[in-house]
Amino acid sequence: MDVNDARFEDDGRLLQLMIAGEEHGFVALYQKYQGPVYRFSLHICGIRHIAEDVTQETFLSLIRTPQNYHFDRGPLLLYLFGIARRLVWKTAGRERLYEEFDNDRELPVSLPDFADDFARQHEAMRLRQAILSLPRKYREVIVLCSLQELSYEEAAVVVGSAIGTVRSRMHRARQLLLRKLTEGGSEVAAARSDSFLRYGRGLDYDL
Amino acid sequence: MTCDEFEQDLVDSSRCRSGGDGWLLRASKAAVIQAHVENCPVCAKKMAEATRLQDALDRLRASTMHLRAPAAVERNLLDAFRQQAARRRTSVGRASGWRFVWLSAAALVLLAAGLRLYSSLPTKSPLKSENNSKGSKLEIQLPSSPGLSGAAKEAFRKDAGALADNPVTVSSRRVARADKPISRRLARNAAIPPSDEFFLNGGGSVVRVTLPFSSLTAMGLPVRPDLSDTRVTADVWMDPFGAVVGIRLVPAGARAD
Repeated sequence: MDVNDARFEDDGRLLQLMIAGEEHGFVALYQKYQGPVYRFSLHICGIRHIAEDVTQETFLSLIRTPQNYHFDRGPLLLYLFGIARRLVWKTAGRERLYEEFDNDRELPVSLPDFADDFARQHEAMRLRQAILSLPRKYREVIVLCSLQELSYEEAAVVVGSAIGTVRSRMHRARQLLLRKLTEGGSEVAAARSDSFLRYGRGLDYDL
Repeated sequence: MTCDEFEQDLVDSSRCRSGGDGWLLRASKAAVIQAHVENCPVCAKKMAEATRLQDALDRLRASTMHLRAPAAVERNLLDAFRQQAARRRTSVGRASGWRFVWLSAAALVLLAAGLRLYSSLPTKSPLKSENNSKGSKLEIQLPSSPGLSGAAKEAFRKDAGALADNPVTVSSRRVARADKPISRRLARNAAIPPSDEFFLNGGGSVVRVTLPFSSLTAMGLPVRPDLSDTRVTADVWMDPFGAVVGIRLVPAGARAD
């Protein structure tokens, strides 16, 4: 996904329409970006209703304070990712104190054709679990770069870090993912559950 | 290529994009990397793992591309947007109303300030200097007054005819009473016609007096401070009640009647 693509050039016009109260301006922006924002939130937190809430709150923020977005700071999608990132960590951290995670319930209900066999579904599930078991700083860069197809530069804008930091985190995230995937599904699930509990107690960890 | 260089290349160029600039697809590096991994089983293993992971991530991305937020989210957001738009319209209308009030108030203030400034400006002197063959003469010029009765006009014309030759020689003159006296207020504001004469309406008299210039300030005439003690001769028009209605300054060399 190249956010500098021509598809994004009219974001400013749509935003102006939205600010002027034109509903179709907002609808166009929502239709354009709700998918990426929702998927980003879902990949980060793994909980569907949190992803829905985060998506809603992200666009509500755009509705209420559109003036907070500045074109010179990057494309609108990166701004939305930044809002969603803050919200998802805030919401997920709050909810994890009270709620037990249910993998089966929260995973996507359908997979496309290439993953229609059991092995690939199982692989996808393991990969999702492995991603969700990553520490926060590694998880968000792997989601942004590998699942949202942002470049390092764009991911650096979203997470507010230097490009070099994103690059090194990405490398470390890949190493962690490979290790978790080769260790086996049961270990990944255990690691995920362990990280979940530690995060819930507010004790962030670093592998 | 060394193993460290391979590792660094893996870090630097293992871009997230599956196509285009992914490190495995970079043609410039492909040959060098391939040559290295053929001779280095450790790096070959790393390369295989990275490829496998990238493929898995690509499949996961593709498997979730269809995911969208539920329609309920869009409905909620549209409701919120409409409410926000309505609030903005209301606030804009309220702001316009306040803007109108403030502009009106500002206009009134400016008008008041303008009037005050205008009133504080030095008024145009009612004294008009005129030179003629018979010497200089100062005459009070007041605005013309409408509503003078026909009898008053007739009295003026009679008086004006008598005084036309020497308007400054009138020392005291009883003037004809008008058949219909005008009010005291009108008489105070009545004009002395733009001729050489006083117009006496509703009775009264003209008295020649000598008084200091400073006395003229009480009649609303501007007086220079350095001339306030200078005495001046003037014909004063007094109404039947003794109030001063008009005044005409008489040059010092003017002959009395």
